[in-house]
Amino acid sequence: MEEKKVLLDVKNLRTSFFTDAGEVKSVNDVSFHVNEKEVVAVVGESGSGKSVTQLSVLQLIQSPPGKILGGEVWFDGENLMNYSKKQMCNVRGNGISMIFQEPMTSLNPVYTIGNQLTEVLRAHHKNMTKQEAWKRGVEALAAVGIPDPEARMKNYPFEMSGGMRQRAMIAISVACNSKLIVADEPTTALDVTTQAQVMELLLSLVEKNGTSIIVVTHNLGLVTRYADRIYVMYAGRIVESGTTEMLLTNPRHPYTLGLLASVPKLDSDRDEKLIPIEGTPPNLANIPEYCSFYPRCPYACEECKTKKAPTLRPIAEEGHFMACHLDVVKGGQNG
Amino acid sequence: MGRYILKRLGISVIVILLVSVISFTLVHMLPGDPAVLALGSEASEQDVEAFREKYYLNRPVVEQYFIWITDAFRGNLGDSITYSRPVTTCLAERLPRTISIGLPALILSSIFGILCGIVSAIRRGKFIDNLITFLSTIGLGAPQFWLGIVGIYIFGMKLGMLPLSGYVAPSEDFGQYVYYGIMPILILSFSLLAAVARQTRSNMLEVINQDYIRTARANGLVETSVVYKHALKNALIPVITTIGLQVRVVVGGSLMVEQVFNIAGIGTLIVSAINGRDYMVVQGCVFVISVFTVLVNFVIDLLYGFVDPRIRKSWR
Amino acid sequence: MSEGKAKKTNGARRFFRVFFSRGWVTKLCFGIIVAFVFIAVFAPLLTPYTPYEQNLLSILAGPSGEHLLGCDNIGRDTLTRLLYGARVSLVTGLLSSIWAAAVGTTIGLIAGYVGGWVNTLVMRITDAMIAIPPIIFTMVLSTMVTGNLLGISVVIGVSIIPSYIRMVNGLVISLRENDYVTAANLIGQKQLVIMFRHLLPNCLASLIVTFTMNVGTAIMLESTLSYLGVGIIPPTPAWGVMVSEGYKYLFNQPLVAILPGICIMLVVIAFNIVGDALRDALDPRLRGKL
Repeated sequence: MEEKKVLLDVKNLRTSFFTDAGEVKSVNDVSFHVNEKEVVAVVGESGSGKSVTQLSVLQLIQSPPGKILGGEVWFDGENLMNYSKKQMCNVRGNGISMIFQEPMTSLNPVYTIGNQLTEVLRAHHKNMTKQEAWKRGVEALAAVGIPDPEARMKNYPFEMSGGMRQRAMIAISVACNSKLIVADEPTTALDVTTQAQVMELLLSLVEKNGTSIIVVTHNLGLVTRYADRIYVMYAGRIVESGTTEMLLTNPRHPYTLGLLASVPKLDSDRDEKLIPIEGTPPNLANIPEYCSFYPRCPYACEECKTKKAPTLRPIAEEGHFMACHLDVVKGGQNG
Repeated sequence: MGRYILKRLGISVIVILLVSVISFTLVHMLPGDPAVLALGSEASEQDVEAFREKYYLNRPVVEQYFIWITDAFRGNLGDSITYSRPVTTCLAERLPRTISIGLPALILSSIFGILCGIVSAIRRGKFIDNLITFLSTIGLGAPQFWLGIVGIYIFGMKLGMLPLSGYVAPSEDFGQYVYYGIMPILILSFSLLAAVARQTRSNMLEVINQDYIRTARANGLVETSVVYKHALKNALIPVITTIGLQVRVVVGGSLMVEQVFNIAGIGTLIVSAINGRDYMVVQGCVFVISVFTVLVNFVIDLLYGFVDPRIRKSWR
Repeated sequence: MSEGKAKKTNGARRFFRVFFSRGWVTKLCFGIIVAFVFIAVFAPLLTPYTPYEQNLLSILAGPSGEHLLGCDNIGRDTLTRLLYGARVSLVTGLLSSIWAAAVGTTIGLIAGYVGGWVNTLVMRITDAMIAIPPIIFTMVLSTMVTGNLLGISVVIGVSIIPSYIRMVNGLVISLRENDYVTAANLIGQKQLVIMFRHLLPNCLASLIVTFTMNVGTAIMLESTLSYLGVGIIPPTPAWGVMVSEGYKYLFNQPLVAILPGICIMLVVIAFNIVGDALRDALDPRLRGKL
């Protein structure tokens, strides 16, 4: 495997929310990295902390009640955790862009697309004139496949469809030449055909502009087609990571197994049943000392409850990690 | 857009007509015979008859209403019994005084109310937020007449800084106007300010949690732009309505303030007219004030569209 | 059955948790309301004097062991009159809000459900009523009832009816589109049943909140009317009456005018804040709407 340059390297990130019900450990000692020109997926149920992890990377956690308690975020050779507020503003939207789930509400309803696009451009390029910014905005809209970009610049968000708005959001990051785009459930609110278009658009940016992409989603089926590597998150922790191929062909964590079993596949037997994961995600305000997947785990044994929560450990193949006391392979238990 | 304005205007006209019916009915529910009240109980039968004839009091109620309303739209609101002058003259004489107290109060409270609301929302949970919240709670809970009296007691009687009551028109002597007017204006503004600040604060807090604010931050916009450009415009749209509603409160409030500070404005005119059963004055005042609030709300409706593109679109 | 019960107690628990989790301010205000009601009910037991008893020796007297908060211009005990004043405020506050809620809810419900021109007409009349400042509206009306407690309550009620009509109407119009209303229609339930069995319960949370806040509004209006001399008339010990009487002797004995105002303020604030807390506890979605 060729050595790739690491673009984003997150180490031991911890974020908690301090609520009436106690400390909610949304991100609990999470480490991951993204290489240049790579598409990485972070997969997990809602409430698993996958979005909060990404917001923590950009230091966008509402405080209070949220607080980043520790960790390092190395981006392009610099630790963002040491950055000042002003420096962070320069990274956001310029180095790392974020695209959100709800295109309906993610753009300010009372300003035109052009207004919002040029504002971001001019915020990062102090010397840019309004005309230049406008021109670049039109180019960016054209680049993300929005027809008649000149006219669209003058539209308000409510005058556009969901897919169009999501494209406009992507256009903002394209216009700023972001090195990394974090797409938080970018397609959840869109219909199926638009979903594919938006994903294709994001992938084309990797080829054309050399951008890296983090896709945060609960939809494992979606990312298997696009992602190079996958991180599986559960209850604020990463429970398994590896290349897409490894995770698909040789999933080792019971939770990953469960996720895969609950995804419908076009190429499989029609008779194969979808198996949902029983139970609900744990209350993060009150996670146990032992493995937090224990209550839902079909393979759980006595040991799982007595031992401390497992940490990520490497397994057989290079680059494949998982956090489980047991070593489960598809279809049964192994050691 | 033209259609939208016409539609709003049509609604306003209907509401104004309804207001005229209500104010007419209200006044005709007042006890006592206006003729007897005006002429005294010892007036002769003939005089009373003549009075009734003159003011159409012997006609059926519905006819009386139509006579009054048609006259009203011609700018004639009838005659005051107490002052023996046209109601419009009484109003014209007193209106400037009420406006010179009410308008500054409305402007002050809108500006400072919005500012306090923003500060409060940005510094949520901090000392300044608690202070503003505390003061606006008092502003909304304290009766205005009582605030006036407390003000008179502290600044007038104990500290001797301000006059106890009275009024000087700004055109006469601006310094004296400020000297006499400052306390009524501030007291009137206080409760309005509280309402505007409260509304702005809660809107700001709601807007700050919206997705597009997160987007703005994620795009690296600095906090000032996030707050003053992206959040404020969205938060202010509902505040416009609050300020519109405040106009009604200003009118009610100036009635109190005028009463406490002994200013001969519309408020005192109404109070004395009600007590003196001066029908035409009461009817005229209620009608004029209500038409005024309806028109203000019409303007607010239009303003809404200029601020909010979503509404502007529905105009087309 | 037992599950439903469990759900209910859970809901109640959540209600109390949220209601009292808002810190000491809410608790204090709740306490003020409890104290206010207690004082209003047991006023005669709390003081050795009656509110009309004049003691010519202590005209405008300051606080003393005998008269804890002093006396007014004809030697009546201020504390006693304040305690009895709570009665007037409580009665007018409650009566007017109850009757306004009953009438306003019914009108709003029917108009919203029937829709069409009936609704338009009702809403325009409501607009017209709202356009008239409530103080002026009630002042004019109150001249008909001259000082009688029940009458003043009715008058104040009339002026707050529009707030119920608007609120219920808005809710009903949005609720009407819900599937369960369509379903009830399809299985042929009577219109009245749909209105009062299906729609009304859904308005309950908002109604309770509006009601609580309106009690405060009504108390404020009553005291204002009484201050202006068109509400409760002397010598009845209403707080507004006391302020207006005390105003004349402000220089000699400020307590007579200042104390009743503080009472009005505390009670109105208490109802406002408890209303806020109720809204958050009953239905957080209502935040910013009521």
